[in-house]
Formats: sequence, C-alpha cells, structure tokens
Amino acid sequence: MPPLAHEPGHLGRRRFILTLGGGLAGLALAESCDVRWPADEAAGPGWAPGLEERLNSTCLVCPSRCGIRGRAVDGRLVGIGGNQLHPLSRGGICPRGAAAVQTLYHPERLRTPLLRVGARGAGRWRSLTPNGALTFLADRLQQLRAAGRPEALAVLAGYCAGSMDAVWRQFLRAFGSPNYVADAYPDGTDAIMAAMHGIPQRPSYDLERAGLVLSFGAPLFEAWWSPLQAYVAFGRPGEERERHPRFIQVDTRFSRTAARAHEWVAVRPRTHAILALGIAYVLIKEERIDADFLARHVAGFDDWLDDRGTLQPGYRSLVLRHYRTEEVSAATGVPIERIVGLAKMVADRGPAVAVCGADVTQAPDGLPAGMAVHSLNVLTGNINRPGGVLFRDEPPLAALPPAALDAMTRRGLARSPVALPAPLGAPNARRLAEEIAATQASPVEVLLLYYANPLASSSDGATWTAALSRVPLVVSFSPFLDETTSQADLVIPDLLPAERWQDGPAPASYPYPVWGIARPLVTSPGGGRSTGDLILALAARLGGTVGASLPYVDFEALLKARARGLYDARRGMPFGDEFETEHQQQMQERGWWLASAPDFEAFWTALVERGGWVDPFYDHTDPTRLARTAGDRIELIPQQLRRQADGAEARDPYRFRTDDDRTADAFPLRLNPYRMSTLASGTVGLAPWLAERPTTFPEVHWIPWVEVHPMTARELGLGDGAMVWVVSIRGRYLAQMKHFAGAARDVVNAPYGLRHPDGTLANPLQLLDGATDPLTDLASWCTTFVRLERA
Amino acid sequence: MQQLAGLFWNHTPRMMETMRRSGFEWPRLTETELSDVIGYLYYVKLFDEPGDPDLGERWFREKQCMLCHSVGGSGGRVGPPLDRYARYVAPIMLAEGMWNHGPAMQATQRMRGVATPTFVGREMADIQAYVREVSREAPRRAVFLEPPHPERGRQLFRTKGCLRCHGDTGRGTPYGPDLRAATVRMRVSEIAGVLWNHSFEMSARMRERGFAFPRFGGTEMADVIAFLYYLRFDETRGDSAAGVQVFRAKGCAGCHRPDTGAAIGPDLSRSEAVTAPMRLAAAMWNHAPAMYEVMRTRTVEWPRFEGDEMRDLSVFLRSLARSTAPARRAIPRR
Repeated sequence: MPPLAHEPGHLGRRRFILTLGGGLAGLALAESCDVRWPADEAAGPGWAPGLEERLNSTCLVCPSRCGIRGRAVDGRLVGIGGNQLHPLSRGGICPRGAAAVQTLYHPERLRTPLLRVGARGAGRWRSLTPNGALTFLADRLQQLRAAGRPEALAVLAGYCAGSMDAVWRQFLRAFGSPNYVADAYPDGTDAIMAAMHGIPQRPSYDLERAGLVLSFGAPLFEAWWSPLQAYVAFGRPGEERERHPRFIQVDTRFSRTAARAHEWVAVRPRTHAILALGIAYVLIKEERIDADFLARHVAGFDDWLDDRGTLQPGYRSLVLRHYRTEEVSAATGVPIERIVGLAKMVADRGPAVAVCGADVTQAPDGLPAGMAVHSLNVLTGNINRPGGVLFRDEPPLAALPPAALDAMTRRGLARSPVALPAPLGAPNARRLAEEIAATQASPVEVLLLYYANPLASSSDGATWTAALSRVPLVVSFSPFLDETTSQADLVIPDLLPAERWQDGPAPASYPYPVWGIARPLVTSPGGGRSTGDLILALAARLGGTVGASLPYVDFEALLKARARGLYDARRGMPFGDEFETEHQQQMQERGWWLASAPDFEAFWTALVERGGWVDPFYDHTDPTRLARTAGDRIELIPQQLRRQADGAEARDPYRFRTDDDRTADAFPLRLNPYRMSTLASGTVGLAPWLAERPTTFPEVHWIPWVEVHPMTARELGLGDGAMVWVVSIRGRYLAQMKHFAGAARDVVNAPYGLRHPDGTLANPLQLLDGATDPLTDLASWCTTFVRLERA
Repeated sequence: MQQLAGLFWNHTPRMMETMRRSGFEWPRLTETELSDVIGYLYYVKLFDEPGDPDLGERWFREKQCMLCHSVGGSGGRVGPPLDRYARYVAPIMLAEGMWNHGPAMQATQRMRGVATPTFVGREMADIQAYVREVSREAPRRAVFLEPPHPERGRQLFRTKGCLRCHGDTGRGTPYGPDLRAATVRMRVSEIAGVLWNHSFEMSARMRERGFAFPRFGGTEMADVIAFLYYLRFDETRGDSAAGVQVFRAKGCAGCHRPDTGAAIGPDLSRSEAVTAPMRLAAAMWNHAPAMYEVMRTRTVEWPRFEGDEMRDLSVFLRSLARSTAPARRAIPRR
C-alpha cells in the first residue's frame, strides 16, 4: 500500500522540490554527497514530473491586445511573456500584461455567481450555481418579453474585445432592444475623421515608416492605444535611435512619453491646437505644403463662394489671419524660433505624421482642436501614404447570421434608445445614467454591466448612484466585487482572459488588420463559465429570435465560424516570424498571395497555435481611404460641422478659447488628470506589483499622488510629500503632493487609477466640472480648477 | 540558376565582412540547401515590384491608350473603361485582358490609324499602378492572385497550341523563335509585354496556318509566363571552351593549377565538387572564407562572374571530371 501524504517519511511533491533544492545546495557544498531518490520511493502512484506547456494567446487586459505566450506547469499559469510571432508587439509585453497572472490567482476573485440577499451595497450575497444564475437571468428576460418591453433591457459595455461586441449587439437586436452602450476608450479621433474625411473610424498611424512623429499630447508610451507599437516604431531602450523616426512630444507636462521623445515641447494647457495652427501658418507662408495634394483631394483650403454668393474664408485665410507666429508664441509659451523650427522639421523630415491625444480632444472644443492637429497631416498630404495617417481594413471575419426578428423585436427596436448620441459621438455611459436617473420609473429594467465600473471610472458618480438605484435588476459580469458590482443584484463572474476563448483585434492605431485569438492557457480551477459562453447559453435558453440569431455551441465555435471569413478572403496569413510576414507582405504588394494551409481545419489549427491572423497589406492607392465625403474630398472646413454649429463658429471652427473660467481665488489651479500605462483601468489593486513599477517618482509607491511645480507649491506653502486634499466644486480626494519640475505652473497633474492602501480610489475624474464637447459628448478633462488643502 | 550562383559568389566578400562584424558564423550549405536558396531567390525575382503611377500616366498617354479607354472618368469610350482592373495589384490581369482582346484591338487600331503600342521593361507595371491610382472603383477590395505555376504553364503551353510554333520545350521551330532568349532576366509584366508586342504577328501567322488565336482565363497567362521564365532555370548546357577562358581569366588556375610551383587549391579535375553545377557552387560557398583569406594574403582580386561565365566554368570543369574518370586527368597547363 502506498504511503499516504501525511505519513512521516513521505515526501509531498512541494516538499520534495524544496528538499531537492536543499539537496542540490548540499551537493554543491559537499561534492562527495551521494543522493539517490528513486521515483518509486519518493512518491506514490499518480506522481509525475511537472508538465510544462507553452501556448500562444492574446492579452485582453487593455486595447493594445498584444501577443502573449503563457507558461503553465501542471495546469497552473506561472508566467506570461510575449509572442514573438505577433506582428504588432513582436514578443514585447507590458507590465500589465505580465501582471495578469496575479489577477488570475487573486484571492478576492469571484468564483461563483452571487445573488444579493440584503440591501443593495450591504455586501450580503448568496451563491448560485452557474445554471441557477442562468435560469434566474433568463426568467427575468422572459418576463420583459412577456410584458412587451424588450427595450427595457440595456447593456453597458466598458471594454468589449473582439467578437463580444458583435455578440452583445446581436443579442440585443434579436431580443428587441436598441439600448447598447459601448463606452470603451473614446478619444474623439473617430469624430475628427468622420468630420474631415467622412470616414467614421479611428485612424491608423504608420509610425514605423514615418520620418517624424509629432505627438500633441498623445501618451504614446503610456496609456495610448498600443505602447508596444510605439516601442517597436521608436526602438526599445538601447536600440540605435537613428534608425527610427524622430519623435517630438508636445505636452503640458514632462510625461514618461516626453522623456522618451527626442524633444519635448512644453505648451500651456489647452494650447496644443494653437501650436498646430502656428506650425500650419509657417508651412503656408513658406509654401512648404503639398499643393498638388491639396488641389486634388482637399476642399476648404482656399476661400469659396457659398450658395448665396458670399465669400467664405478658407483654412488658409483663417490660419494666416489668426495664427501669426508671435501670437501663437504668446499663447502657447513656445518660443517663435521653436515654432518655425518645428514647421521646418515637418516639411523637411517627412513623411511627418501628427498624432493627437486626449489632452487635445477631451475639451469643450476638443473636436475642432483635434481637427487643427490633423490638418497638419492634410497640409503635408500625408494621408494614405507610407509613414502617414491610414484607414485600415478590419479583419474580414465571417459575419454573424442576420438577426432573426419577430413583431415584438421590431417594436422594441423601433423605440428611441435611452442614450442618444451627440451629433458626432456615440451613445455614452453618462447620457445613459442621466436618462435613467431623470425619472422615477426607469426606462431600463434590466441593466447588464460588462467590464463597466462607472461608479469608479466616470466623472459623474452621483448620477450613476442615482441611476443604479432606479434600475430593478442590475447584473454585473465582473470577476471582482468592484465599486459598481457591489451595488448589483446579480453577479455572474466572467472567467479571466487566461481561461477563456475570445478574440482580440489589434487597435485601430496599427495599420494592418490583426485578429488575435485568446485561448485558455489554463482551466479555471473553480469551473465557471465565460460571459461569452453564458450569453450564447442564455440565447439558447431564451430560444425564439434570440436563439436563432446566435446558433453557436460556445464561444470557441463562434470564433471558428468567424475565422472562415479569413480563410475565404484569400489574403493575409496566420501569424508568422518576421521573414514569413515580410515575404507575404512583399508578395501581396506585388499582387500575389501565398496560401498558408491546404484546408480550413489546418488553417484554424495554425491560427490557434500561432496566436492569430494578420494581413500585412495596405492599399495606398484606394481613393475611398482618402475621403468619403459628398464631394469625395477631405474637408478642412467640414460641412458636417457647419450643419451642427451656428454663426462664426461654423464659419471658423479654428478659434480656440484659452481663458477658461476659474472661480476667482477659490480654485486657482488647473486640474490635469492623466492616464498611466500601468494604472489606466484602476487594476493596480488587483496586481500589487504594478504599484511598485517605476512612475514619475521612482520612490513613490502604494499611495496616490499629485504633481505640482515646486514654485507653485512654495507659493502655497506646501512642502514636498505633504498630504493634501485636492478640492474642486464637485468634490475632493486625498493625495500626496509631490514637487515636480516637469509640471506647468498653476497646474495639478493627477494620475488616474491610483488607490490608497485601504482600496479607496483616488479619482481625479470625480472632480471634473462636467463640461463636455457638445459635438462628441466627451467629458472635458482640462477645464476644471482646484485648490489644494493641507490634510 | 547558375547565374544567381555567380551573383552569390560575387557578393561573398561583402557578406563575409558583414557577418564577421555582426559576429555570425559563415553558414555551410549542402548542395541541396544551396539549390533551395537559389531556387527561392530565382522564384521571387519572377514577381514585379509595383510600378510607378506617374510613369504609368505618361505611358498611358504616350501610347495613346487613352484614346480608346477611360480610367478614373477620363479617356476614350471606344474600348471598355479600365477601372475594374484596379482591384488587381499585379499587372498580369490587365495584360491577359489585352492579350485576349488583342486581335480585335489591333483591328480597331488599324481602322482608326492608330499605331499599335508596344511595351518594354516595366511599362506595363507602371500602367497598372496608374490605373489603380486613378480608378474610381469603389468599394475597392484588392484581389490577390495565386502565384503562377510553371508546371501548369507547361501544360497550358501544350493545350493552347503554343508548342506548334515554339516547340515542346519552347526552344523554337522554323515557325517561331526560341523563347529562352526572348525572356531572359524578365519578370511577369515584362514577359507579358513581350508577348503583347508579338501578338499581332503571332495572330497573323496563326491565321495563315489555320490555328485559332489562344485565349486565357483566370491566371492562365501568368502560368504560361512562369513556364517561360523557368525555361532557363535548369540550363546546364554551356560552352566548355569559354569555360577554359573563365578558369584562366578569373585566376582560378593560379591556385588550382599554377603554371609554376605547387597548387594551393585542390586539383579540380579529381574533385567530386565539380560533377554537378550546384555541387560546385556549394563547394565554392563553403570554402569561400578560406579562399578569401588566401586571396587577401596573396593580394589577388576576388573573381567576379558575369552573365553565363559561371555556367561555362561549370561545364568546363565537369568535362574534365568526366574525361578523367575513372583515372582522372589533370587540368592542362597553359
């Protein structure tokens, strides 16, 4: 009879390894030591050496969706590295991706569905079986349908990778609800492209082939779409920098991105667009613009006669009239010679690409400000050219079947959505909350929260608190009891990315379509079911139009069905090494395509094993990638904007205010919230080692901080490291104040996503003044004024 | 293939220096491996790089294509608009369309007093690039073609009746020329241009002989062109006498058969390496570092092989090996 695990003399496996380690150390000290442990003596039946497995997958922690390679031993994930075959990340991985192991095994992770049994937020729950949770939710949804109110179901998706977005839309459409709000990382760049190009999609930037990258507040190495794309384009630390594009960061603070740039151009808050137009002024004056491109593809550069015969000023006149270099210098704080030098660099070191970030677009005039930055790309003709701004294709996935509709579905879909979009925006979470909170009888009876934690991440927590109190059933799929999930009635925790099937297309910033596949690296020890699988099972349970519209056994089957579109497209390839990818790219650029697999099954196997699919081809000759406006021209004075705005604003969108209201002396400092790569989604509490990653201050960890210029701090009488309350008219939060010479005077830089050791979120967004851009509905991050009070 | 092997050899010193600086070891290649590498390079050279749209516009105008065809909304209406060809990146589909309509086009050109255009070099690729740039076809979805297959091309060469004039192996008959010489160092679009240039004469000759003018569908023309491209791939025939001259002029004899003193290199007439062209090329590649060192110390210039020199050298050395077997004869002294 084999010895039991607790019997003296038996070495448990863990103890065996420890003992073996000690034995080897002893062996090193005394070489004569003879250690023999035959396996049959060391362990009982069933013991086997650790089985190691390495699998390629896709990181779903942030929108970059880099390629990862998980290392599992005996079914436990022990490490995450980069997938060398992934065309965007090329083996790189950021700290958040690596920290996903910590999230996976976090002790506070929810393993079973929970049903609230006490008052909302009281923290009293009852466990449900997965099937019990499914039945509970299906019954409630059936009741909505039975009551003829399918539109009372709403979904708020905060981060919806890949086909989950299509599944939610299909589910709601077949159910009969128009209330889908996907409020995931809006940055306003899609609205800029919609206005100027008639193409409502986020642009791609061909950073690698650019000669110069001029970033206006875009945090390329921090919380941008893909910091890894920036690392590949500009070189990893230690690489020869001369081989890469020159990189200039225009920023209000000396950010980590500014530190990585060849040059940092410090500007006053809210003057990025003015600097861009100052550069445009020099380019026009010195005739360093692409006149041929402007003549062939652009409208609104020159003055024109409108329908009434009135002469309307074009972009050239507006810029020459209002953005003389001296005035721009005075407004931005950038010296005249620097402005001229920047313009010359744009002209000489092409292709030059101007990228704009949230610092520009998250303002009351964010859309025109973003247009001002993008107008530099238009002036230099650097659209749809190598090294420029591109509009890439999406992966040609097979579409889901057309949604089945019955009479009730059609009635529900005909109702007006609860959250209406702004003229150039999408429905957003704030509007949804306002509409729900506005009436006692909520238009939403069942609210599903998918990776959405608005109580923590939105700028209007109070509205959300009111809204949640009015919704009869709030369901969250979060694997953790975050702020909003704590207020839910039912929690059906999703599996974590390392345990589920999903897909992760590369972000729009990357110029080529990439379809990454996330596959289970390990099996969830507690069982459970991914939200994707749950929705498919829910659809099957509901049957009718919903069941017919999502006829997939599980999410893996759905992904495989969608991959058929890639196979049939006769383009692109499963991920390959640099040679294979380059070879395919060169062949496609010559018009030929190399098939990678003899049949679909082999193709699917290759996709899964290699981590995904890429089409390394971009059609620079396609005129529909330049403009899809009524006149097939890029519009510098967009007609769409003229229809939305009135008077002078419509005639001249390129006028910007810099004199934001500050409430006298009560709030003398401008608040400047910013995202950091490691903290962007507030996950630091779930992966503690992220708290120790280098930040602006190498010595500051585990405590929220704000950055203030030393002279400003001295004027306030606040020493370095003082604990302060950051106070606005909307609220306050506690933080440590750090002196930082890279901060602008009279500005408080506030990283977003930090928590105190007790888990309390230090959220600068909840101090915001509520201003928005009326055209995009994006919240303004740069017009709030605060004061600092010693704590 | 041997021409490429010669190019390989010519760049060897530069490669060695680069690899030494980068800390890479000189890779040894077997005969098969070198054949594969050269085969791959030979294959990829078949495919044209994209043309120049600005030049394409010029050719489109100068060759008077625009009198009959429109693209992007401007041009003549005699022939069909060319916008739909914009979906193809490779010029072969345009070339195939021209070929298929060649007799009719040429008849119309004669009727209208317009000279039939001819194409040289990359002009066809340039025109394709121009069509892609100005075409109004939308939505645009690039169509990629399956790479051409020489074996399929060989079969088409037979079934389309090309062999009746050019012979089974494309080496010509009294009715048609040897196609190997006509297509040397050309890529798809260039060979397509050559075919077009001769299509009028071809169609006339075929009419005389009572044959129908062949038409192509799908990517058949590309397959035929690939067949023509590969006609010279395994060309092992050469000029042994010219090879003797190469052997001496390039300094090979200085090491392998000096007029005076002992030979530094092995007697090649007794070497297995010379018995097959790629075996010789692999042996030269693998011994290149040693040869390089010797030549540096002796301040001998690195020999370069141009045109068919490598092939002729190989033929000469092979003839020596044959003539000395089994008791091999030494290379004759000057």
